[in-house]
Amino acid sequence: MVETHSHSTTLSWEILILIAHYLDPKTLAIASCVSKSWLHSMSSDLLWKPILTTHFPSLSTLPSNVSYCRLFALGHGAAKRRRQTPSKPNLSLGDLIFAVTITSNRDFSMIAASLRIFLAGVDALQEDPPGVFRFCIGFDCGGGVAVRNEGLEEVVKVTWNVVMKGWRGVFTLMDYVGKMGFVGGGEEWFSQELPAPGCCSKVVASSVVADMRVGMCGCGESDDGGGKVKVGKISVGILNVDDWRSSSTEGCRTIMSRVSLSCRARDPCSIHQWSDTPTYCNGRKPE
Amino acid sequence: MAEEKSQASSSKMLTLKASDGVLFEVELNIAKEMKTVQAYIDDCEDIETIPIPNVLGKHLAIVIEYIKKTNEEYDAEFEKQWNMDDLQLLLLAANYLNISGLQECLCKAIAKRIENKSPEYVRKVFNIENDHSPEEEAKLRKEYKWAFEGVDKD
Repeated sequence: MVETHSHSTTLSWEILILIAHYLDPKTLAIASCVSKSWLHSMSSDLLWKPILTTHFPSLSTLPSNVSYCRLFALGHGAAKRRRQTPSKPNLSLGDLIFAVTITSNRDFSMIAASLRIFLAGVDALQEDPPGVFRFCIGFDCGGGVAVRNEGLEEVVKVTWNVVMKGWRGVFTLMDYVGKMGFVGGGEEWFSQELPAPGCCSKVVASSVVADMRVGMCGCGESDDGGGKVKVGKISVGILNVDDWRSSSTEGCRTIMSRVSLSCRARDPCSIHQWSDTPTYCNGRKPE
Repeated sequence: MAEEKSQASSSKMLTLKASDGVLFEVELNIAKEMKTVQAYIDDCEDIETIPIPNVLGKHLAIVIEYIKKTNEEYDAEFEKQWNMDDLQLLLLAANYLNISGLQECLCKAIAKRIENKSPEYVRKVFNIENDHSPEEEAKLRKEYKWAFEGVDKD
């Protein structure tokens, strides 16, 4: 069959024209890479227009000077992204450090500050019932904690940052200004809505709040006979305001995802990855 | 008279002469499925031998058999017997002779055989030389990255 091959170039050209209309988009695209002449014919608008109209009709109605082949590739990419499940964040608590501070909003002096460093694989959940996402950050009664007179009420700024070990990323879970009362044995409670992930955070409310509880303890007497009070313990957690519960899985997921986001460039399409439906949250704020 | 004539013409035999000189005697109604032949007959009614210069005897035989036997079942099995070279030549024959059913069957078969295959495979099948420079090829592969996912290994 020597004669076949001597005509092979013209042979394939005619065949090409005949079969091009029978090729699926993928094969058509691959065929475009075969040679220069194939590229020219396989990427022709005539071939791609019906394909685009079938698969992504909305794209085919847009006025554009982009080739139909290119539009198909864009539509294909969008459909694929939509189907993708978000990748599981590959972080564990052991990668994180919680840094909590309470400072006076008046003179920015430190009232209380502490770190909670997690050991990989060990630290999971705390004294609250198992399955609850709450962490205690204690203080020893030594230095580093400011003392106030009993009964004082002060405007304070509370912050809770999550830091990735190695300074790979930092995410602020709480940055809140509110009033704190210094009453021995009392408990102060601050909560702040976490912004919805992704690019719509200013528009859409999330149903997740960061929550901080500060326990006050008396520590001796002041000169005028009144008591002295300081921060005794702090606990932080993540709450879902749909049911005002803090689940460990949800809390972990929230923290991990946001910290890993802070390590990477934000992808505006990530809003579609969250399975939480954002609802408006009437977060309880301290008086 | 007209009836007799039409009866006679339905069993009238025609000779088709392939490019390599092989002769085929076919019934008129079979030959008429080839629209090119039909046009020939329309032009000169008394013709008895029609030259088919583009098609080898071996392929013309296959084409004639297809016309005689075509049905859904036959069509499904038809293409499996032939290698890629024969399929291409048969397609060209069907195209020249203007037999739409056979043409469609063969187009689908050839398309199926290169479905989800790499460019190298396609080049080999059709004996095409890659005239892209390495840079051009890399650029194209990047542009069509979405199409290369899940492609069959050669």
